[in-house]
Order: sequence, then C-alpha cells, then structure tokens
Amino acid sequence: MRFTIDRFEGEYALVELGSGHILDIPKAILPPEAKEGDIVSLRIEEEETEERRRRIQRKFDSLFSKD
Amino acid sequence: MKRNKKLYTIVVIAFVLLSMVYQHITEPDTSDGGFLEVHFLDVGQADSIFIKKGSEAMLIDAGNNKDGKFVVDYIRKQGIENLKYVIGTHPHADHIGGLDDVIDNFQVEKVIMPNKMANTRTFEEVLDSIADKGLKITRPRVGDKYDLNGAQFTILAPNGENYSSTNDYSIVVKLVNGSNSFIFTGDAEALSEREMLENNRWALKADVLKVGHHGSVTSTIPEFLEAVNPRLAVISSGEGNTYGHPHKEIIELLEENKIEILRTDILGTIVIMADGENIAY
Repeated sequence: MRFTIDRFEGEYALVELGSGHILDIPKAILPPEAKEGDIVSLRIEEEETEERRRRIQRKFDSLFSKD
Repeated sequence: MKRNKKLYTIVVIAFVLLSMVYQHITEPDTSDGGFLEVHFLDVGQADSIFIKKGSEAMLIDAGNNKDGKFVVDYIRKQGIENLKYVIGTHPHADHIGGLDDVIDNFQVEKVIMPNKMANTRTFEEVLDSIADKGLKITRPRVGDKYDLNGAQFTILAPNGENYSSTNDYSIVVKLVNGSNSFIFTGDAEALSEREMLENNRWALKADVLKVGHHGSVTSTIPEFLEAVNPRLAVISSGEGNTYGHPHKEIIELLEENKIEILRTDILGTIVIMADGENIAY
C-alpha cells in the first residue's frame, strides 16, 4: 500500500492513492518528518504480529481455570 | 553641502514614490466593457472558475481529479470549444485535478502555471496532457497583462521564487471589465498577500474577491482585505468539509467589513454577470 502526500490541511494530510483518489488521513499517523510530495508505504509487520499473538495466546491459555 | 545632498536624496525618493502612485492611478483602462460572465463552479472542497466574454473564455483551476468530467461538460454547455487561457493556480490536487480532462477536451491557447511542481500522479497527468497537445507552460510574471475579448487580466502574484508553503506559489490575477473588477487568489496565504501589498497595493481594489484558500485563516489578512475593499466575497468550499473551511474568523472579518458573502457550499455554482458598469448574480 503506497500513497503520495498531496498536501496538509490543519490536522489532516491529503494523500493520493494509486487510483488517483484523494483521501484525508490524520497527520498523527504519519512519520513526523513526512512532507508534501513524499511517497509513503504501509506494510504489515508479520513477524511482530505473530510474536504478539503467541505471547497473548500463552497468557490467555494460562488464565483458564483447570477444572 | 552634506545637507543639500540629503535634501536631494529625499526629493528624488519622493519623486520616485509619487510617480509610482501616479502610474497606478492613471494606468490606462484598455478594457472595453461589454458582457462578462464569471462562473464559480461547485466542485466541492476545491476551486474552478470559468470566465466568458462573448466568444472568448478562460478557466482558472479545474477542481479535483474526479471533477474533470463535470468541468468539461459545464464548459461545453456554455457553447465553448476554445479556451484562450487555462490557469493552474498551484499544483495541489484540488486545483489542478481536472485540468488534464480540460486540456484533452478543448482547444487551449495558453496554459499558465507557476514554477512549482508536485510529486503526485495527478500533477503528472496534467503535464502529460499539456505535452500531448504540443503546448508549453507560460510562467506568470507580475504585471503581465492578457486580453480576453476586451476584458483584461493582470498577474499580481506570485512575487517570489521560494516559498515553504505551496499555496504561496498561487497565481493571483485581477480581471477588469470596464469599471468592474475581480481578484482571483487561488490559495495564496498571508505571505503572498503581504508581498502583493508591498508591490501593488494600489492595484488591489476590486469589486469581487475570490477569498483565498477556501476561507482558511491562513489567508485574507485584514490589511489585504482593506486594500481590495470588495463589495462581494466568493468562497469556494465543500459542504461539511473536514477542515472547517471557511473558518469562522474569516466569515466574521468579512461581516465586520459589511462585505456580502457568496459560498459555493451553500449556493452551489455561482454566476456573476458584469456588464462593464454593474455587477449582478
């Protein structure tokens, strides 16, 4: 997932999707150094996602009563 | 001797200043009047202004990418196949978005855009359309004048080369038809307004002001509004937009100055007729 920053308006960034459509996203979810014209990519952190899932699953499993 | 020199300097400066003012006041009005139409198209949170005088027409901005077809159809309905001038005020998508469709669909004589690029596909598509038609881009130079069937517009901004805000690259023009006048500001912000005040204060007076940057507080400083001193203010913005345009501070400033406000988010497309003497909408 990639988009280009077209401009900023107040607390929002207006980003251009591949389709050419423009979308408002909160400035807060972009890296603070992001500026007009930057191409930003979003990716899924698969390893980190799996690690966390395992950790929470362990905690969850350990909390069931054993009767 | 020293004192004389000082006096001489003062006299020279005074003469230069006076002649500058005089030049502005007596600038010959070559506009012949006649019927001029200015259409502020309802393109939501974006700008597009279509101007027609007799058989000649021009366009300032073309809304967002998705508005291209609407703008093209609108111009066709006005019986126009030729655009003498197409101005892209600055390269943000809400101003140049539909320009590629306009350039593809009409005979365009001159494309005027500031020396500022954007990194979007939207901007690239405009460049591709310009190239496909074998056109070149004309840079705006402050003071340059262009004729539209006897009406005349003058470039007032940008006055500089390097701005931190893309909005300040906005091409600002003053259009004169007989004794009627309009200022179209794009998204020019306070910095550009101050430069216009410095360089062309006496040329800013106009009957109608297209309020800068959709009525955002980034623009329309009181001193600029005072110099333009319009009767009518037009704001191009989208109903319920995310950014709160037009901002209430700007609405209050216009109301305090007893300026009538016309908003595309309330009225939809706004058409102003100027016959060279009177203005009606």
